[in-house]
Amino acid sequence: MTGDLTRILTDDLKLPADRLTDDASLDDAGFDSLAVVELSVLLTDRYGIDISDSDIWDAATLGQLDLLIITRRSGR
Amino acid sequence: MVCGVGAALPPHIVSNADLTARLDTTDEWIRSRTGIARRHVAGKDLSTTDLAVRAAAQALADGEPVTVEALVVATTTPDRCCPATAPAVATRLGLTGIPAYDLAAGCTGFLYALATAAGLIAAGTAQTALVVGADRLAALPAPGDRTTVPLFGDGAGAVVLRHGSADEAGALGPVVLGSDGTGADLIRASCPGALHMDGGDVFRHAVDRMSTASRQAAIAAGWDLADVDRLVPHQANSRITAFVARQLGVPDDRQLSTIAETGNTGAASIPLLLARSAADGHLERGHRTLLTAFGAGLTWGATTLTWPGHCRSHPPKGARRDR
Repeated sequence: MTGDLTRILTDDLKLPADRLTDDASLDDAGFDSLAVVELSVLLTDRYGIDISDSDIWDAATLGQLDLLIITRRSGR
Repeated sequence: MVCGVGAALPPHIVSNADLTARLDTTDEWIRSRTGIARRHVAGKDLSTTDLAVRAAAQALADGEPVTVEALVVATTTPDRCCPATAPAVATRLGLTGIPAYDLAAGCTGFLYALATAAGLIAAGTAQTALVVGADRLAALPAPGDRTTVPLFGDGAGAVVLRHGSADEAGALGPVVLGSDGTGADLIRASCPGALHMDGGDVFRHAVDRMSTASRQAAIAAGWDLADVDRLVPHQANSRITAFVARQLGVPDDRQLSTIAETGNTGAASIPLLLARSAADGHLERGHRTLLTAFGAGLTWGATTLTWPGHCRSHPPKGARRDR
């Protein structure tokens, strides 16, 4: 995972750092329904990208979520 | 300017454990998503009017003696459709004859009422005004709805406003208000027991509107956000208020909260939070406080307030049934 996503997950969403591995699922990492909304809002605020709640839930792992964010950011 | 604060909570407390006995939920689920541990719920013998009277009486006893010349009650849950709550509250306080009316703006109701009461004073209609927020939101959700029942509680809060100058402790800044009817369906209830709430979209709008309104209110008052001593957000959900505080750069130790003990009490939440924080010492004379709210409508608002030190606040106690 890139540092940007790691920082958001630990500093903003307060998820436990020891659970944040590339192959962890969102459930493994401690996401709940509100955390998905929080992440979506933060991504819009920080990077100007719109990633829906369902797009975030569709990511099987944090590694895939990171890739999705990188792809959207580079597409701007 | 503000010169008195009071609050009232029903004596009956419903804990998360009480809810898990009748709903498919857990204490951990409720706490982690809302920050709520318990809420006060009014029985049939304690009306919105009763709660408003008790909070208002406490606010009048709190500060310097004033002759109240107007009363505004913010509520989404009046005891009846007609007449309004406020004239009955005024009469029970011995204030028969003064202008008294209700105002509905969801959980932003208190800030709307504060703005209109300040307007009555600015217009010369009154020199002093009582502003009450009172709601019984616990009856709004469908009784079996595990996602909304845990969120709400009942209560009332009140402040006394009087004419004053901008450099006095107690001075109220410009009130920023807004609404957006395109979001009317996100939080709606056709009658008690039929609340619908779209949690994800409500979160999105709440954090955006409260953060923006807070910045606008700070600018209007000539304040830097870094100078805010206390953030007083409507108590809807600890995840929303924490998010707003982070957006505004307000550190944890400058945020006031009652959410764990009260749940969402609607229009009552901000004055209730002020009363409790003044009583427990978290709010002191001269503190620059930033008030912000968001609610059904959609509605939102924010304002600044330099806390008056002379308020002798009392902790909100359970409402006595003999009042």
